[in-house]
Amino acid sequence: MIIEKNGIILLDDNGLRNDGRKWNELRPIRMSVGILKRADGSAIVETGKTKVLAAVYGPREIHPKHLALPDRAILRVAYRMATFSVEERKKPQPSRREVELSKVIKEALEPAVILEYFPRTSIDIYILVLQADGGTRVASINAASLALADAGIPMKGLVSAIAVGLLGNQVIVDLNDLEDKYGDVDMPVAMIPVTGEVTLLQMDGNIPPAVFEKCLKAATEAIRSIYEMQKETLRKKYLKIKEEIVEGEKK
Amino acid sequence: MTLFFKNMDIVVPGDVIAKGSDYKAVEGAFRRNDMVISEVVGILYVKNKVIRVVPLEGSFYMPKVGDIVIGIVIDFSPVSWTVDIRAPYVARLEASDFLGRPLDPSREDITRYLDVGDLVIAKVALADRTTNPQLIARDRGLGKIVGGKVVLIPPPKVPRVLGKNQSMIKMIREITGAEIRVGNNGVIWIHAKDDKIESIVIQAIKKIERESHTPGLTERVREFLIREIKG
Repeated sequence: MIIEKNGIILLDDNGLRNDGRKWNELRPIRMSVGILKRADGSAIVETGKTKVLAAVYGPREIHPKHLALPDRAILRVAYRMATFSVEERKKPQPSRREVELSKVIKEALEPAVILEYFPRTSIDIYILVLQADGGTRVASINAASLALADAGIPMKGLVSAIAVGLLGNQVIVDLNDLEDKYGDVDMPVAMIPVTGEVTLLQMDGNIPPAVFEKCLKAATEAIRSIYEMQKETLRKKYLKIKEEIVEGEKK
Repeated sequence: MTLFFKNMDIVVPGDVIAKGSDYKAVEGAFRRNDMVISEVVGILYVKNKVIRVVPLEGSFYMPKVGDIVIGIVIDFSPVSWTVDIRAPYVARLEASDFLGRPLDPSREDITRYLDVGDLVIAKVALADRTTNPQLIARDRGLGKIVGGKVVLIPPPKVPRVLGKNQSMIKMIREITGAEIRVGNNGVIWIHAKDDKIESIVIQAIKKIERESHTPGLTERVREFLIREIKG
């Protein structure tokens, strides 16, 4: 079955997508933490051509003071796209979309962070999309959750996210920009894999419940593998130093 | 009943450390149903089914009563100072808790004793969730700091710089002869007879900070100090 839209072949007769991936294949992912020296915690996540940088500051004194909550910290998220991140220059002022995504990402992370440990403070997350090729909100969530862990902020678990969608009847995982634009359904999902809580679920397009279940199952599987990668990334930072020392002692 | 990690392993948030109701989480981990889950990036310590995760990350300090901290005076009122102790909250030091006697602001200027920018070593006298911490600097060894150098390290690494029963810091003091005060908030003050020794101590502390999660650290630091002082 070939799916073609605007002259772009989204799914060929071998069941491969326009960038040659199978339906459930993720784009190559690269993650690293602790890349910004002046931030308390930082991370960069690259999924295919999408590149997202996240920096965490805090817990720190909250300004303006009246926002402080007496029993817990507040989480503030600023999602921004660099002017050079998309094909046509993005105007630098915060757009409606950026404000909304900031809120959505904040709500996806909030259930994971143990805010009760730091009353009357704020934890600030700054997310910058360096290059956008679909799935920036899920890449942002993956990066922000790594940056939070890197900042030493206690969490119930890491948050991992992935976008799934539909091309005709075919479920696809990890949408790129073209599939997002011309595909039939786009459904970003974020979860705390340890507890199985879903912290973000958005969807556009119309689908029957059975297909939705299929999409969610595909998302859960992809999230598991991203979660493993995140854990590996955090451990790697320390294991590297450990190995260096073991080698130094051998010499 | 089952433990999924070894003692001294590095765990990250969300790692299921153990399953079974007989394990107890005391620090850096929490219980959910029958699982013990880590909440920070840190080193796992398991002893007699008691689980402790000592964090490796975190540049903030949460004040605890009885901690020794080194802070910078950032403001003053006629009878008190405001001190930055690297916490998300500013600390208050009353003039009487510094001088050991009441201060009459109409006769004396508070900045005679401590001014903005001065370094002070003090004890946390009061710290709870609802109010900003209070300091006290009346005991021996507390008070204004003059001279020397200051190094900042992430507060979770302070126990490493001190070592078991202060063994690390004692060893550094013995070898270098430097005077070193370590604040629980990650501020370390070093005072030695010359700049060279001070900078060696700073390098040693940076080494401890970087390699804090590795075994045999005290010996490596000892070798480093002896080599540097000779060379």
